[in-house]
Amino acid sequence: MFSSPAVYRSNQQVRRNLQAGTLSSFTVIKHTPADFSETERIIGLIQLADGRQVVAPLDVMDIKYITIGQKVVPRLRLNVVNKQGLRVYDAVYEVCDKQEYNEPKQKTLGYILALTGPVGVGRNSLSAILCKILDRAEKVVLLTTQPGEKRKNTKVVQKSVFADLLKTKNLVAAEINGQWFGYKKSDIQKIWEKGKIPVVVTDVALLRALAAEFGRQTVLSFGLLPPGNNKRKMLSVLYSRLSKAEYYSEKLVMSYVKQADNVLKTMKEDSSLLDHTLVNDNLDNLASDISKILGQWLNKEAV
Amino acid sequence: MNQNIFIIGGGQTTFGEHWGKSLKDLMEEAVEKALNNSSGNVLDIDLVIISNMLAEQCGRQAHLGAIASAFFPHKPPAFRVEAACGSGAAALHTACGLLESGRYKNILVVGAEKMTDASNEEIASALMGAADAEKDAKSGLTFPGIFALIARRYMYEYGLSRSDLNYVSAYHHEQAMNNPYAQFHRPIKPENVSDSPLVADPLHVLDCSPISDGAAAVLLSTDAESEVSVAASQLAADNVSITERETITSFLASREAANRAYEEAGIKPSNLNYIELHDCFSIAAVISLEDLGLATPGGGVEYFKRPSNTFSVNLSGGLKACGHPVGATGIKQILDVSRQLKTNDKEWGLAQNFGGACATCGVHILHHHTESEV
Repeated sequence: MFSSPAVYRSNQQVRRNLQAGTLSSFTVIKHTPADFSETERIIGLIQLADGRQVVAPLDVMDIKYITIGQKVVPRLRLNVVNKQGLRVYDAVYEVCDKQEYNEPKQKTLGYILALTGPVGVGRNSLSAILCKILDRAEKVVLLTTQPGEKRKNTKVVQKSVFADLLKTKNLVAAEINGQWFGYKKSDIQKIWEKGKIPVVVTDVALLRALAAEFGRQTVLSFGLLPPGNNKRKMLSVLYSRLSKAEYYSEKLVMSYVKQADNVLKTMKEDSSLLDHTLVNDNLDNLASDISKILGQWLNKEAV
Repeated sequence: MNQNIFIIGGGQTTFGEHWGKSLKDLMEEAVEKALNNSSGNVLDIDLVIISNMLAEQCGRQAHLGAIASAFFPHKPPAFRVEAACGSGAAALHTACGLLESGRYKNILVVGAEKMTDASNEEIASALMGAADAEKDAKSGLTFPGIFALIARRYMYEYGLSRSDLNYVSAYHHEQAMNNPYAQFHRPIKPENVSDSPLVADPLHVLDCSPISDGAAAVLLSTDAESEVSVAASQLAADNVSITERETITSFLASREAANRAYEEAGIKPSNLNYIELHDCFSIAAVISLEDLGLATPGGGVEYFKRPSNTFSVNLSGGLKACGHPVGATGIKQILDVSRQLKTNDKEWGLAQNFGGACATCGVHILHHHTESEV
């Protein structure tokens, strides 16, 4: 089923299916075929906006939350990795709760590469490496009201200034634990106009805001986890990394570790926002993996 | 039909798990039984047509025609026909066409399948070859999944309840109790169906026909006569993928094949006394009854709750309880229709056999010539 030529053909076709649609029927497959990693899969028969029908995975927790006739919206997701290591992408559909699917508000010129995870997982370090090894990647300046933030490409502004920026509607932002974090839309547009890919670091709330603003299919999101086979170990790794950074006070480190607990929980609950979830136990290897995935993504775009 | 085509012999194996028998063994057994109760001479067989879907994938065995031809001292020409689960009807239709042409006079049609040698995953993957392998399979869809999508849509459009659908499999298991060839001789209550494990919501294990081994053979002739003739043989097709159909709660290929068959035989659905229909899944039985013109749209399930007096359906136990060795089913249906017409002295019978989600459908109408006609 997933021979290399079939994978190539599949990835050529998949972008045609990135349209909103209506659910005509759905089922839970209890025993997926051998090529698939999960044992169960929810699949829908969807009537697309252009009149075609497709069968495709649905991104829902449980079928008791969906009914025939509901609107669905698409995004690209990694479907399967075949025996040769080739990645098969497919359009998956999320059910729109009560709101209609809107076309993205911004005219998008390309993708946004989002690195999501708790503070201390290595998002900024990773983004710096990616921007070095990928000619097309450029980091977007993060605006924040968080006092004490001293990382590169991050600008601290007063809350009143942030509020004024929000009023101009030129900002995509989210409030996290009483502090604001956001990106100027004009900064992202400028990077696109240069033919480059904007790289952003986010937590889940800011990622959600970016997806809502630019369209989910515009955001290529990587969820980053610290190494560790349980949450306690993961948080220990984060604490250790943050403590080593010279620009964080002990108070800020503790605050970030507490936030991380929530962030890890939200990343699990909102996993549909993350196209890939990777563990950062080696920055160089991680950067290499991400650039390969990005390469495959962009090659599909070139077709 | 522009020739009188008679059924002059037939035989089948039991359907079930035959681990001790190979595909060749099953074919040979069915052929032997068909020849034993045939009025014809084995050397008069001038062509053999094999109906089979999975031998290449699951048994690494192609060239089944040559295998079957070697059963006979004179080694008649032989070849295989494939149309997924509708291979039997397609093979019969091919035989009828060749007999009508006059090129052949006695054709043995053998349907056989060996499914239990392969693992469940292999079989599930192989059966998806009956759907659109590149379009539908890559989403993780299985065949039960395809019919689950159909069942859910049907429930949405017609208000069919899960508890009503239970009656279909319960009916088939009850009928199979009287069929010595059936895979299952175990009655089930309707509630057992929805209590069985889910396969693809809303379909449960007991909504699905089983994996089976088995073979059936029928000898058709324009040379010799018998009580039962083939009055109509029609084949129709539809888009393989359900994504390319206007509706999934009625099968176009089934309606077209049936309507053409009724016209060819010069009868109406109300003339039918006995039907073997293709109940690969419980919902398929409901929809097939409607598509054959024997129930109103949305009303197909009623027969299985309260069987009609005017016609009988799937007294063999159908695919669900008799078993479904894919390539053999269409041939076995013809044998059952012929047997039921003769035993009960009834006149008209119909066999409906389809492949995939009814992307290919064959309908054959048999006419039992009563004593006054003979």
